[in-house]
Amino acid sequence: MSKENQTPENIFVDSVEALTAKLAQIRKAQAEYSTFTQEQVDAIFKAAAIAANHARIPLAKMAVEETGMGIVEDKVIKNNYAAEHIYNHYKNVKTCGVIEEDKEFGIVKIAEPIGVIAAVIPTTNPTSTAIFKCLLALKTRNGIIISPHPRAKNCTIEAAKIVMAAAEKAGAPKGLFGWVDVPSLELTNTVMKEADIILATGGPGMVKAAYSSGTPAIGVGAGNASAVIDKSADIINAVNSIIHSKTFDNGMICATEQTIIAHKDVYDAVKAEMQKRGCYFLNDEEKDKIRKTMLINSALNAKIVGQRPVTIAKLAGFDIPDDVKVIVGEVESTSVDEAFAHEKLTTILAMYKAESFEDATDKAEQLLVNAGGLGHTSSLWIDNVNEREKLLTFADRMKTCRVLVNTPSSLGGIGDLYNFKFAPSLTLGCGSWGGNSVSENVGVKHLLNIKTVAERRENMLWFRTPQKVYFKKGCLPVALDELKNVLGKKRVFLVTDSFLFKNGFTKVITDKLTDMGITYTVFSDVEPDPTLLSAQKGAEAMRTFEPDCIIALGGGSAMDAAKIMWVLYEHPDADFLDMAMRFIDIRKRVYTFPKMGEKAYFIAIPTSSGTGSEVTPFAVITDQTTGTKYPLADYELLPNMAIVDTDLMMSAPKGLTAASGYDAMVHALEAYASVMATDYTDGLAIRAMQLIFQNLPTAYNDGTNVKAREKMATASTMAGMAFANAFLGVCHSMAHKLGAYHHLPHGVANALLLTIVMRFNADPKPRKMGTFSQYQYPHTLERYVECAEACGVTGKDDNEIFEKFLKKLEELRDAVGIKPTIKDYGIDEKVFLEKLDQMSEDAFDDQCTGANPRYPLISEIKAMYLEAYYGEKQ
Amino acid sequence: MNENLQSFLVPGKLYFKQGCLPVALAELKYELHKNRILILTDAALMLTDALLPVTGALYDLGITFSVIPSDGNTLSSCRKFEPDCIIACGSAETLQVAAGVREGFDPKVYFITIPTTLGKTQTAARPDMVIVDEDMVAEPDETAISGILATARDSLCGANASDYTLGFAVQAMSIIFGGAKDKTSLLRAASLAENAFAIAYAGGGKGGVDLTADAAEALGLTVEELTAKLN
Ligand SMILES: NC(=O)c1ccc[n+]([C@@H]2O[C@H](COP(=O)([O-])OP(=O)(O)OC[C@H]3O[C@@H](n4cnc5c(N)ncnc54)[C@H](O)[C@@H]3O)[C@@H](O)[C@H]2O)c1
Ligand SMILES: [Fe+2]
Repeated sequence: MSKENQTPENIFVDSVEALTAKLAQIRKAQAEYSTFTQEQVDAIFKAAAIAANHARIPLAKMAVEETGMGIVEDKVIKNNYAAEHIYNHYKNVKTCGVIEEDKEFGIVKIAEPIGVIAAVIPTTNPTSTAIFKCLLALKTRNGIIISPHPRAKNCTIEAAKIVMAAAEKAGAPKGLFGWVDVPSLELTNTVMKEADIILATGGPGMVKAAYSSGTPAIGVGAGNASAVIDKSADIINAVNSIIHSKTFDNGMICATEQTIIAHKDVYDAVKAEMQKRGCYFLNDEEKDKIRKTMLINSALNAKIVGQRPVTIAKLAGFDIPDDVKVIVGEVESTSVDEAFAHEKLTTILAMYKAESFEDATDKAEQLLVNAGGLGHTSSLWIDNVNEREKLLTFADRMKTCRVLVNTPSSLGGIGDLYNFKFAPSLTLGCGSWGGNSVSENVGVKHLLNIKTVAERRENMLWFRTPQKVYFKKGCLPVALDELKNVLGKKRVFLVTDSFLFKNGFTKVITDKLTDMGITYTVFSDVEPDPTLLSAQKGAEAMRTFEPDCIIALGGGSAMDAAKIMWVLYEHPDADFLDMAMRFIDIRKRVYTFPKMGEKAYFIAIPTSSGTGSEVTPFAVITDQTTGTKYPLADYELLPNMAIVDTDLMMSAPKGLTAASGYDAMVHALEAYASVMATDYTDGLAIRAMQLIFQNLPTAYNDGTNVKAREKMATASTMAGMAFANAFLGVCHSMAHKLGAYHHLPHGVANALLLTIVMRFNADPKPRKMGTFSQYQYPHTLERYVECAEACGVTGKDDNEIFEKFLKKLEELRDAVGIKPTIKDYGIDEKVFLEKLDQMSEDAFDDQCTGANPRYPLISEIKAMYLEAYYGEKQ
Repeated sequence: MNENLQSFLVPGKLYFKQGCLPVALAELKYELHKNRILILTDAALMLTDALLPVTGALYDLGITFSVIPSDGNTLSSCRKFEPDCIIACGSAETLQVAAGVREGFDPKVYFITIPTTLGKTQTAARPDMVIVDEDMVAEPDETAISGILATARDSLCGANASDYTLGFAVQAMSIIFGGAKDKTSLLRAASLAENAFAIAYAGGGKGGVDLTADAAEALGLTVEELTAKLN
């Protein structure tokens, strides 16, 4: 073509200027093509594949003629494969627009083209690789600029032209493809620099240049496959497959076997079969001649690539029969100095004898490391049914991205011919071992930009409680009937504290058990804030007694201690540090809590109204040696049954009634304000607040008032259900540490902090809000106002209602004899201030902090502690 | 119902929120280790794509399942399948039938309900897990709201009605009284009302209980105002 009659579509690229013009034209066409639909693209893809397939023979002839390498008939297969298998594999694959959509999870994936692909094509497979890359470009709506190898430029360009013409005929924009007509190093570098992505197939130098160009690159490396033949292999199949593979296109596919490593027990048999089938074994003198011919200045001699054995021998200076299929050099060294150890890309094979399977694997590994081919392909011949372990060892040891088993590696490696899940490709990634960015057989997905559109979704929520909750004054013995009648339990282990035991609280239970003929034992050694040691003692006693049911009777301490004993009884090896590990989402935590309930059924019976432990999945245990508190949380810790009988609470002393009652109020309020609050927890929390306001003062002043006690029991259990599912907040974080550092009752510690924390949370402009998909904007003030209104507080606006609500909560606190400040409890100022920093940090790290609607800074926690100490902001 | 014993019996696990279905089903495989799942459903649903989220999720998890219509003579074909878990997916009637089928199995067989309509779906025999996924539920029609209110109202008079059920019922009422009309809110209200109802009637029919006055108080209304709103 002369330069004079150029049109924009047929610019002759022989200079950087021409290339620039060409690229502009491709970009224009690609911009148009990028708007095509999947249907249009698929029609073009199909038409192009058909045209390429039609041209398979002329293109094969052209390639052999131009390069002087390979075999026409085999190149016909490669061309045919590049057209047909690629089409078949990708014909139904979505590559345009929305390719995946999951409504439930709110995820949409959108495929978009990358732009212009720089395709670097090798001499070894010029036409088939060109067809392959052009088809991928069409399917992905990309443009392509081809940089052919100088020794194969005509056939490469011809292949591209054929695909392009068919594509245009089927409706593709004109000028989507381009190529360099006069290849030079400068033009190839410009192509790589200007394209949007490089798809480089070729020698290591070319691939390295691609990766150094600054353009994103998919470059693939050199092969050097060894075929290990184990003594269990089917020798005839192995040898003939290898010969078939090796002779294919005169050994030019990069995945082809370069070396055989045969186990010594079968070495002779392998050799005999090879000789029988036309392999020529070199003598020492010939070996040296071949070595000298093969490598020139330690680089592969291009003259031998893709040649028949007789031609190679002639080049090396000796004669062999014309019908020799493969030249074989028996060698021992696997070092870089052994020419036979390298990739040969022709009809020469190296052959090693291995002392054992391990030795064979070692040698294959050494060859990869010393002589090249890392990341590419390895091959194993073995009895794959009975020698599974060896197979897996081999796969484990080979740093190659393809490990082929009982498969000719040339046609096996390119995929889809010997294994139909293995993607067809003429560009085989070698992973980081080969210095590549991909480790798979390259396909359409590597040439697309995939956008993920992620819509906001809310977390799955749940509501979980013990399966059975019984309540009502006097319900205990009735509920216990189930033990025998429904559950068929035989051995009960009763856990309580010594005070309750001495004062006869257990009698109603033990009498009932005796009545029903159920064996039992009582463990009454629980102290307040129970320790690991006492839980271990209890678990020890359980292991001896082997209960099928555990009953926990008491306040939070006895119930928590019994939960821990339950864990230790069922899972003696459980690690507390693991169980207490901090988590963000209880369902996604790293640690899987052991399955509970396989040995014993767990019944919780509270004697104080407050902790809610009978319906919560929480337990706190203290390590007596370090003083560390382990808060455990998992739904496995939920009691199976809770029995809330007011009879047990009638005698609770005033202090306990006040502290635990106020604790329940805080549970309800924190659960309501929690970022994880749900309608279920809201309904329970609101009702609990109403009941507490109405009944706590009465229960406190007149402990004999049955109705008030009963309502408080219900309120405490309802609040427990609410925070069992919505969790708590910073007030509890701070109360936990205040209680631990200064020995204040849990409920009192909460009462001292509550209104300060509420004011902190209600700020409509918090420094940081809590992170949870459901929690969309700071609205805690409104949430508190909802509580206030439900509890009968009215006012002219939200702020007034909120202030009045805080006042109401403080009045309740005063009404039950809880003092207003930490200082009032006689905590020494100096001691308090000394411990303050550590206490603030510990409170920040408490598990309860995560559900708080406002994410606190440590300094903010400290300020709140100070305010709670002095009774006013500092 | 014993005077001295009241109970709050709920399904062991209640999962809700749009998109919770696949997450909850994954638990079947990874935590509960269920391998053979029988899906009982409305014959009509089987003709549509409505079940796809369930079957698709199970398929992705690689769990064997079989779908059987809940009408007709199902028990023997269910038995032949030897399920270790039954999922009932459909309207209230379907869930009811499925609950009956479940009775015929070992208690070890896990029972899950996935309602696809609003209305008395939780009165079925107590499931081990309930999955309420908005995407599975049909668009509510006009009668849905009055249905929800009626359920909430009736729950106030169950023999086993208590402060617990009252909390749920009041929450359901306040969602409706707040003027909610959208599917998400109505589904929330319906679940609450049905839970309240199911628990309030767990032991049997009506008792002498009437919590209307408490409900009115909790909502900040007079009894008359509440009764007017409910009827
Ligand atoms: N697991 C949870 O969900 C949860 C929640 C909050 C608190 N807790 C834990 O609970 C513990 C506090 O529980 P608590 O406040 O119930 O205290 P507690 O169990 O330590 O009981 C306090 C004292 O009151 C006595 N007592 C209990 N019931 C009585 C009654 N009816 N009559 C007379 N005396 C009675 C006990 O014998 C004990 O001496 C702390 O360890 C705390 O960490 C656990
Ligand atoms: Fe608490």
